[in-house]
Amino acid sequence: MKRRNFLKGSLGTLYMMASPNMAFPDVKLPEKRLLVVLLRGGLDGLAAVPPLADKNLSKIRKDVLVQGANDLDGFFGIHPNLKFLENEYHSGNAAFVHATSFPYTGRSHFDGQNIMETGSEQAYAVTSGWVGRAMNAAGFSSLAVSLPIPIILRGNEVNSNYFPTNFSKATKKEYAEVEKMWNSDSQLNGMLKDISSRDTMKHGRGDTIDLVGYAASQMHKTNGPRVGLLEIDGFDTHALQGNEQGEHAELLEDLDNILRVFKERMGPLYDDTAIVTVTEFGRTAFENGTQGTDHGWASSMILAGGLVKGKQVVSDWPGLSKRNLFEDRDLTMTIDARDIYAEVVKTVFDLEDDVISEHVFLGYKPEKYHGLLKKS
Amino acid sequence: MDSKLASRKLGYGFSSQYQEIALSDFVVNAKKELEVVPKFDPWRLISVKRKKKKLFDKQTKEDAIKDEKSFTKKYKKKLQEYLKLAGFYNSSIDGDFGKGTRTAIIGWQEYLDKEGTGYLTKKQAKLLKKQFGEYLGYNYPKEMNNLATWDLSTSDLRYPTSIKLAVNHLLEMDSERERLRALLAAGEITNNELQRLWWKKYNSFAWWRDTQTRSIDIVYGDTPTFNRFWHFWINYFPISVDAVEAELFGNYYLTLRKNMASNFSELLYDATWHPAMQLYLSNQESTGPNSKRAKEIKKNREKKIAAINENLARELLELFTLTPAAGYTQDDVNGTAYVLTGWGQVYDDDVKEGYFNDYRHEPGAHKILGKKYRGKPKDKLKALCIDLANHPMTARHIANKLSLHFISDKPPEEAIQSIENVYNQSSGDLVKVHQAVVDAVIKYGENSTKFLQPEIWFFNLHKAVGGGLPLKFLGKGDDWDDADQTNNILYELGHLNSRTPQPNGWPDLAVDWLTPEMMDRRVRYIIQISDKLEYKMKFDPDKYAEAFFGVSSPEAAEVKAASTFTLACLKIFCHPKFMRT
Repeated sequence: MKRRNFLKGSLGTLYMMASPNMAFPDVKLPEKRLLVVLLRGGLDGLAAVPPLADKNLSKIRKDVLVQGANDLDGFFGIHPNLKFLENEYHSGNAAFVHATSFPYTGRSHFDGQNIMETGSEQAYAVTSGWVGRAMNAAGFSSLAVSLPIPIILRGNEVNSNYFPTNFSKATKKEYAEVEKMWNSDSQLNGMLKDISSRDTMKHGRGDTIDLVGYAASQMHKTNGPRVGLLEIDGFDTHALQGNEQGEHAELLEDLDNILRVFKERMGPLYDDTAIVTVTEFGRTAFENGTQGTDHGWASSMILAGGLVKGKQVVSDWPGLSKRNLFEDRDLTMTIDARDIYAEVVKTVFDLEDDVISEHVFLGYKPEKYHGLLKKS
Repeated sequence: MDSKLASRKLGYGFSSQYQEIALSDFVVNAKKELEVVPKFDPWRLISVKRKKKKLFDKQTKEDAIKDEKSFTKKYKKKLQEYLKLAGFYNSSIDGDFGKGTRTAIIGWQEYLDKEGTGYLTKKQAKLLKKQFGEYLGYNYPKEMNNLATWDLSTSDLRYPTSIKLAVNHLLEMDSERERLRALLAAGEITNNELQRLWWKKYNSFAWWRDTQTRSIDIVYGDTPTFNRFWHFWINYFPISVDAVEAELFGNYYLTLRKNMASNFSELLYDATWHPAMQLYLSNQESTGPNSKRAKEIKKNREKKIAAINENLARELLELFTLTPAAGYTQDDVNGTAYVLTGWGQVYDDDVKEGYFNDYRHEPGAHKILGKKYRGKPKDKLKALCIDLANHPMTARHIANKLSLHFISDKPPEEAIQSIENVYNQSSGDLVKVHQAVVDAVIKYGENSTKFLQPEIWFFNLHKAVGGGLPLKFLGKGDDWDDADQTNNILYELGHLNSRTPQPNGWPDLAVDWLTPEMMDRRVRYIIQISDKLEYKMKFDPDKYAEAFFGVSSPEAAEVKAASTFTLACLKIFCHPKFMRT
């Protein structure tokens, strides 16, 4: 049983990418901001954005069936805990995509997460990530705020990162001596280059709301990060998933609050910001035997921010009747998630289509753009 | 390769006192060490009686008797409260310093490794207040207070290594959690109140004991090679405090350990049925569609769905045995999930059967990889574990993981094959497999390097300096440094074992650890402990550098030339050679 300890707040990890201003004073910076939210474990798209008009939904789900979802567009509804996103949707600042995923049907977290991060069709085929490559292609150097750099951000020539610690800092001389020692080492060389000149950061793996507040404040800086990555764990709800209440509902509420706080802190900059969620797969359409859901295929995606053309749920709905489900159990993917992400990086980083195809998605040509982002 | 390098590749390194031996002797010893499971008794390693020093050198018992005369009754009551909070005093708070109070004072003084006089000087009373006064506002439970003065030599009682004790405690915690949640939901208590009530009854630090006890055995014990393999298997079958009650960790890790001289199929079986794994991968309520429970649901028209939960089944095939490359299908996952139904019934007291009952178990035969598993439920799982363990893809997977951990991020194919062959020939005899790893490390390790995970680097460091583990919850004696505790340090270094992010365990590749932030943490940790090394441990960097890098090596000369003690330590412990094996 996945049991969130009620003594702890929601735990998340923040990663950011920006120009390391000390090392690269002349670096080119995008004006737009991007927040990628990784929902690890596999978001249940049928709970977050339930297809209310699909009669099969209430037949195949009992305990995990979400009651009280509010209508979005006459077909899809939204989970009652996504209040901020619901408002944003109606005011034109948020959109959803449904029955979307990477074209991966193996149902393994680890293969699935590798694919969602690398953007490759095969797990473990490449070691860099699609966001990292997109920044690279656009010529933006980067700095990530993180402990191990997640694969999705890898692929930038200059990768650096930071994360708060209780250990006190070393002196300049101490750093210098260690750097000297690491100079001739191919893996350690340059590791401490930006460390000694940094601000001390107080936030970290801790309350996610604090983390996005920090992210927003950093994104305001002239040479601050332009891309943030927020990881939220816990979506692997195999048991006691809950419905409009319970574990999954609490996670959605957290997510909603996080995005609300992020918008508040971004202020006017929010107009130039896009937020997009990434998850490794959706969950089974059917409820399993432990009032949860198992690993499935397609899910829903959330887009928000001033750059998003909101108030639309983009979907080519495959249906929930047994013959429409993939292998009789999972929501079938009808929109390749890469099509959406291609549109996002095109808008945020001003990349050409062929560059996106070649460098970001390694040969995959997006079928079409769905008009989810405003033309710049 | 010399025995020093071998001891780093196949253990946790060496201290200044290390006597070099012939490599062949090292190999013989290491292989012998792997033949039997050594008794896990870390407490014996640190429960050494030390000579007591006077608490404050210039103040005698007579001074204390004089000082105490000026204490008011109210102040004495306070002091008794502090002693009670500290876990030394159990009697009434009356402001009367009787026999109980004297014994408590002696207990506290001796805890600080000082002479137990039974009387408090003004200074000592102030120190007592400083140490425990802050806690008064929190109303922490006794268990928590005991931790504050945690003496590992007597802590075994609070480390439930018996599965039955651990599970009982878990159930107790579950019902208390539910009770408090209900009170919160009904608006009868606030969130703060809830936290206070929870702390009053339980602490959630049980998993700290795992790190503490394991670290003592690693740094002070004499089976480092065995422990390195233990570390490997703990990470191979990971669990996390995010999903498993910490009480189960002790017995679970010891269960893995117990099987390390057995066959892999036995290790697999015991890891799979263990309540810790059952809870971690949420198998305990997985329900067979034709089980008794399913029939009950149908009969009573309950609004429940009688179906399996495939979480554990999938990871059993994907991570613990075959890997997706074996090409199993969804039907194989389902079949495995049917075999697993009925296990993890922690509410069922029948420990001998491994917390199994057939209420949720799917009856009949289940097809997995073309074979039908039938018969008694326990036999089905046993047979499946044996078949999965004997599958060539499992041999390949384990050999690959072992090579990645012990040899290099890109181990030579021959190295993997040498382990794989032994695995196949011995049908997964873990003694033989581990010994094959020893051979492979000696043969192929010479020309390959492995960047060390934070936990291994940390233990290597403490082994190098001859101990100095931050063991006390509240720092050492009169210090108040929360960060100075093994778990906190490992958390800061990014590798707190019990917080495995996902069921595939902590990463084993340099690319996952080599980031500026993580490297900065290592630098900072050396800075943090260098005072302790210099003054308390009297660690001699020059001497160690000679032993580590070689007497006339340029690295040792660099250490000697360092202008400060801290720099000398940095030049050893943050040297690329120390960070790799």
